[in-house]
Amino acid sequence: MTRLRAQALLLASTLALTPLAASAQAAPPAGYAQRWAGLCANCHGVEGVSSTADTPSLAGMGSFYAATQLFLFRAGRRQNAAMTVVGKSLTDDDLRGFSDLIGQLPAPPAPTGTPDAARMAQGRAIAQRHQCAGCHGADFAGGDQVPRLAGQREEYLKRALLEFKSAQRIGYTNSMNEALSTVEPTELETLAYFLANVR
Amino acid sequence: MQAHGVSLSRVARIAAAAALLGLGVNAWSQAKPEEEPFWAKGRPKGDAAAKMAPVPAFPIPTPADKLPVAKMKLPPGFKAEVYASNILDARGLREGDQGTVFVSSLFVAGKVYAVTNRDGKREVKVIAQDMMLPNGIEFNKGALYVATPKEIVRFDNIEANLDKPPTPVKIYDKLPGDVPHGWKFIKIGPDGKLYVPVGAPCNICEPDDQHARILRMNLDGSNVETVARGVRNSVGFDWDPKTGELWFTDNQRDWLSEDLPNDELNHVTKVGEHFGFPYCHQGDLADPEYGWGKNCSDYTKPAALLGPHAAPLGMRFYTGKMFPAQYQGAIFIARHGPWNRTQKYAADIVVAYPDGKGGIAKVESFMTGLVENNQYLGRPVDLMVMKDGSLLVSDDHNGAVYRISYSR
Repeated sequence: MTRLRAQALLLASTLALTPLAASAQAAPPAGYAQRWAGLCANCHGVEGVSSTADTPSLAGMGSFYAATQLFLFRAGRRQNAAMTVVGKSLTDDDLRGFSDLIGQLPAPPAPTGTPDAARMAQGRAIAQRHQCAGCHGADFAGGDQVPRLAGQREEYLKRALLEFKSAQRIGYTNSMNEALSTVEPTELETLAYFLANVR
Repeated sequence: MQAHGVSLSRVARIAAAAALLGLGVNAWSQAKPEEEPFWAKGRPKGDAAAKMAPVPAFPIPTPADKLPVAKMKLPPGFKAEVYASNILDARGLREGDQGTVFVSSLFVAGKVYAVTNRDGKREVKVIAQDMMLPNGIEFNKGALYVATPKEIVRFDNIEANLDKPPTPVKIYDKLPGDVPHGWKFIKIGPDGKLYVPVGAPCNICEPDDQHARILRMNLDGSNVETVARGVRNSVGFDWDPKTGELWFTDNQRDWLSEDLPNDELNHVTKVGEHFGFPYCHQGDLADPEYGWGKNCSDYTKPAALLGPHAAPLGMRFYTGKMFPAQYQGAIFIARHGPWNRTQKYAADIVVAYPDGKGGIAKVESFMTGLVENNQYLGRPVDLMVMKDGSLLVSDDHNGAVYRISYSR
């Protein structure tokens, strides 16, 4: 996809916002659509829907969550080879610009195909047992500083869950480490499958 | 610099490792695995409640020229201005002997800052970082005390060493260390003792004898005693300059309803008295779960009600000479504004006027204007009377400190 098309898509998505959302959140500062296309879109997808292994989709994430993660990368409090390098280069204005832009990406398309009903039921039960919806929402769409999980790439979800469980990844506090402390490793795979396919 | 040998991530790793090994020992939280997060206990069913959760400070400070000073409404003659900006997660405020303003933070920044002021030119320095929720600070005889949920340390002769702070001296490390309501507000009383609250490690629960109280200790950490019990989460207190008695704000439980219970301003008249948590809220409301078989008349009632879920935090008796006479001896209280309420409000400063008989005659708005379209433009956390009589106010939402002054 060309850079021009990426900008057109972003522009279209901005225009499609409802007036309420538009007033609650300022338009991304000029220039960030272009920087997104050059710096982010290759891995995260032009519209924030990733087709790259181990790289999360950002479509449907709130700007607060995006800003928080960029801040943690920049501060060296979240580790990822590519994002640590990117994070170090970002100013406060960049954190706002990119996160505002991410917050305005259209929600990702609903998963296609028919998932395995038995695995989905198992995954839903695990999510219920461990109160995932308590923070991530009944529809797993997240909100404020909490990420959307629904429709995320399955292998990224699995890796993120493992990183939290092993405390390689820590947020502001250890709330996710604690939430996952009693989830069995085999259950993490089922949980990732469920969240990637839930609709 | 690393303020003390244990960094934020290291503590979390140890805690998580302990949990993984099934040791069941977790210094961070009393919450059992598979329970909902501590703040969600008691949450009613339904979409409106499901969308509510505590929101941390935004991770980027607001630039000085975008701070909401023009939105602040004050009584005639008062003026608000930016004192210092670019202080991520600005929380507690203390003034040093030489005019340095110390600013604490919570888990977003994990830092303690010093704002120097030389000929009106202000500079923000980081004097400690990678600390775990270093919300509690106090200045005394040249030293800065810093309290995390677990321990209290002291940086000696700090104002002479802002660019190269000394290795802190540990004075106490036996606090429970919970994250829920574990962050501190600390202050030295007229008795020369350090007062340290230990909040309830929950929204609502039966606390053990380590929690839900205000402690005091000698400045070397010895002789710890309980000053007040039944205190859910106090993040602000001060002593009446006339009587020397302790007053404190206390944040009451969540989820009971949109409009109940009220948060409290309390007045301690005898050591060890009980202020009701978890049995009785706002002096007259028995808890629906823990209040059975209890009687509100058995607990000390609040001196004033400060609004449901309003989150009153820092408070100070006004002792300066700048403000009009009516404010002498009155209590300025910063209200952070609720997360646990559909309609946001507060995010302001109120003034409580003592009636001279141990109670409060009235509570009035002082600074308003920071709630628009059901969103916060800023969230006051702590306030402090400067030596010149002006009032400093911290705002963690914007990462800034404001100065409120008066002239006829």
